[in-house]
Amino acid sequence: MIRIKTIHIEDFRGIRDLSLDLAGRNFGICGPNGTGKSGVVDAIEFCLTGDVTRLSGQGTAGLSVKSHAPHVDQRTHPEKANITIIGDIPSLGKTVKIHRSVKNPKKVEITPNDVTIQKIVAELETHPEFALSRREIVKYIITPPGQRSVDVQTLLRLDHIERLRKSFTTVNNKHKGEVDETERNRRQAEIDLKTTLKIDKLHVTLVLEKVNEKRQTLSLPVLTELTKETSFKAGATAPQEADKKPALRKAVALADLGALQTAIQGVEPAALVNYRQAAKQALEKLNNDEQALTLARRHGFIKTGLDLVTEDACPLCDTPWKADELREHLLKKILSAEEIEKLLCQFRTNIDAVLESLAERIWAIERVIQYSKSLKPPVAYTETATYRDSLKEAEIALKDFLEDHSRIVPAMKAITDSWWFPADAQRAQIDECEAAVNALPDTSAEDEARDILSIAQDRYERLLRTARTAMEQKARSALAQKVLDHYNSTATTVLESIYDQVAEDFSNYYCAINREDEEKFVGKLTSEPAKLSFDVDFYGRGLFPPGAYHSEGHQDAMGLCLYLALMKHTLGDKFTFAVLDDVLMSVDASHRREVCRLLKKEFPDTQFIITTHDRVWLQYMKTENLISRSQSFGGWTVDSGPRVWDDHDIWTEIQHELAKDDVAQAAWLLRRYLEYTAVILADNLRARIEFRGDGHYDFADLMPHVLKRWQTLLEDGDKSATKWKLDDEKATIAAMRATAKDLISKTNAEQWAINPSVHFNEWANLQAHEFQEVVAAFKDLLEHLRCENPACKSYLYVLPRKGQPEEMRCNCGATALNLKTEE
Amino acid sequence: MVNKNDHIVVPPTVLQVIEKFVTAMRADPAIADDTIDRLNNLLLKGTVPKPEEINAALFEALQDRQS
Repeated sequence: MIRIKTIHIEDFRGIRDLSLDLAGRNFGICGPNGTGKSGVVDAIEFCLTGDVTRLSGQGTAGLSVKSHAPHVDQRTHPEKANITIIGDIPSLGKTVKIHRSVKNPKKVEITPNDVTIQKIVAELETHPEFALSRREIVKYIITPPGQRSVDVQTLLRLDHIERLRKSFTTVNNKHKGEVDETERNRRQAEIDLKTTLKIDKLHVTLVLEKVNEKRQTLSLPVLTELTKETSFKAGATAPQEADKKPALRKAVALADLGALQTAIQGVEPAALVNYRQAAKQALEKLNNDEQALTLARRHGFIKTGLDLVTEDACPLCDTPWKADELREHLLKKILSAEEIEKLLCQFRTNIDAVLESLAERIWAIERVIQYSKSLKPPVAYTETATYRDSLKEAEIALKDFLEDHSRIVPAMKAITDSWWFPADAQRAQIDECEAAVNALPDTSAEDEARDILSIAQDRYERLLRTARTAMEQKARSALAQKVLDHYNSTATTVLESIYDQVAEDFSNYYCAINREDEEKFVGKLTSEPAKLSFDVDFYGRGLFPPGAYHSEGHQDAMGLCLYLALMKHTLGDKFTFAVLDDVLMSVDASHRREVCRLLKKEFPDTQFIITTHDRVWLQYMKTENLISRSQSFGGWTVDSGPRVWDDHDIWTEIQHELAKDDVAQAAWLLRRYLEYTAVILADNLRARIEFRGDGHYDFADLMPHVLKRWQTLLEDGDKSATKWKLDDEKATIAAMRATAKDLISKTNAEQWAINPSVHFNEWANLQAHEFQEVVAAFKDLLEHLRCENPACKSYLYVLPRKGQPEEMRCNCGATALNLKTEE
Repeated sequence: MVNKNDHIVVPPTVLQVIEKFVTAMRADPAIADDTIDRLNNLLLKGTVPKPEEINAALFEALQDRQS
């Protein structure tokens, strides 16, 4: 991966011409909303991937990179929208220049253009997730388990595993469907053979008995066994007519028609009635429950809608909604719809059974029509055909309903209407057909026996074929199922292992941020095929979805932690840079310091480019030495883009004002900076400040107490060193105490508690060279409160955050004063 | 076992899944070795196979015999 040194942006999004010098280090971009910060994020993403998620992701219909990435005044000149990034590739030890123009987003110019660098850039193109906005982190937290599985697996580059699972599932489902189909064919062949031989059960003894009965009529030897090769008509000399395989053989036709007549003249089978009743009741329940029916109908629609919620409005009608609330609203609907889906599954079995009976009846009626046509003269069959069509219509209605639950009315009709009994006119035509067949000249007993043996032979062979096919298909289906089971089990095991690692890292990161109140926090990712559940501890009360009880700020922090854990697992040491676009806007000030420390401690080799509209947050990042460089944006206009100024060191800025002899401005800057710093120091050192209900503390409220606390802590450190007989440490602390006393005296800060306004006013009235001394005194004092290690420079802080202080230390550990005087 | 050919670009985690998957199938006497070999070769091609390709790998021998 890469670390960005510089970026140059021309006529891209809201930016006209901008150069940023990041020096390959963490970088902050600060400015009010609408000043072009996100334009920089988009530019980085575009240059490295050729795409801008904001213009091509979900909910961006009508937007495109080519049309909308250029500055609005250059929208017809995409060739003028260009981005150039110069960066280091740590793994190669090389510097690379990457240039891309909106005119041809897919074309990237790389200098030097060697294969190893090309490979890195190609890899970057496949990792657009290095840029993360707040709306994107939410998708890892508040999302249905199915969608989270897709999102997380995409980030982890595991979508291959999911797509493979889908392929195996498709194969398995296909074979299951074929098992049903072949089994239906086998069953029909069995019915046909039984009808021909006029037996109730397909049993070897019964078959041989009936076949031998006919063979005896033909004086043929008795068959003693029934095998696959058995020929019922073996030895029979068929007359020429029979050899022609006439379409209608009286005895067989009468058997078929007789079986149908028996069925329609009797009662509807109890099993079928039960299936129909169960299916009917469930359908009626669904149909009568308007909400359930609506949910079943809208299930797919809601799922699509959820993906489209990216703004604070309904994606369909633009009605204003808070995006998070709308998502929650839709999620509830989906969960209800999934309950309906379970209900639908329950009566799928009943409908399948009804469908099987329908298929048998259709087959029997088709045969009646065939006989009617074959008779000479043919018998009318229009009514019979109408009956067949109505049966087919019912079959289609039920199949359609299984495919699309919104088609409930035709399915209700198919289940409710009794198709078992044909209408009178239809039955009359069936009777007419049977009578016509009956009226055919009787064949001799020998011819009838020959006909039956011939047809039985055909049907027996068909039964053998269909049984073999059904068996083969069952074996295939079993194999497909086994392979799918092995795959699911394996993939789940591997994914669980990955998710366990990710969850552990996530939990550790989140604990680090919330060490004060959620030290024992745990998060758990549970993988199931096509599903990834995510639950987090809520103050020891149990595991719940993140959106259940945690605040928006906590959810933001969770999103960041999960993202970091996922990226660590995905990229490992290649996680060399990330762009965090205003992702921590909901995290409160007390947790921001911990976020800074987390990023520094856990990702020391990752370059973070962090945007924020909050200057205090920017200052926090600087104070914590998370970032050393930053750029402030402001005063954006459509013509000129953002106004940018270097956000250099405050002391340089003050000197700049003094050089202009503007003491008042320099004094204002120092005052604002000290006020800001005093808050941090008071917090770090756990200074005892007089409480103010409005939460507004100025320099005079804080600094005297901070400095007093500092001296007390040094005194405690001295006592501790004495107690443990640490002479070197005692000497160091003594020096620190002397320095502290001297510096505090120079700033005269302790006097501020008496009358701060006098001092501020005094400052403004000082000459430049006089104020210079004040500045130097405070600069030295603040330096004294920091770690001396140039790579650290953090303000010292007390641990633990509550209870008896045990240690005062810096971030890097180079400075650590023991405060304990007891074991 | 999984053969990792040089030209194959399969993500490491996917390779891990395939390797364990193949091992699980080898331990299952109901799945023939030649079926597993065909499936293994297919999965290592680097792209996600289509269902019909998986079907062919699973039942190729059977289909050949039938034809």
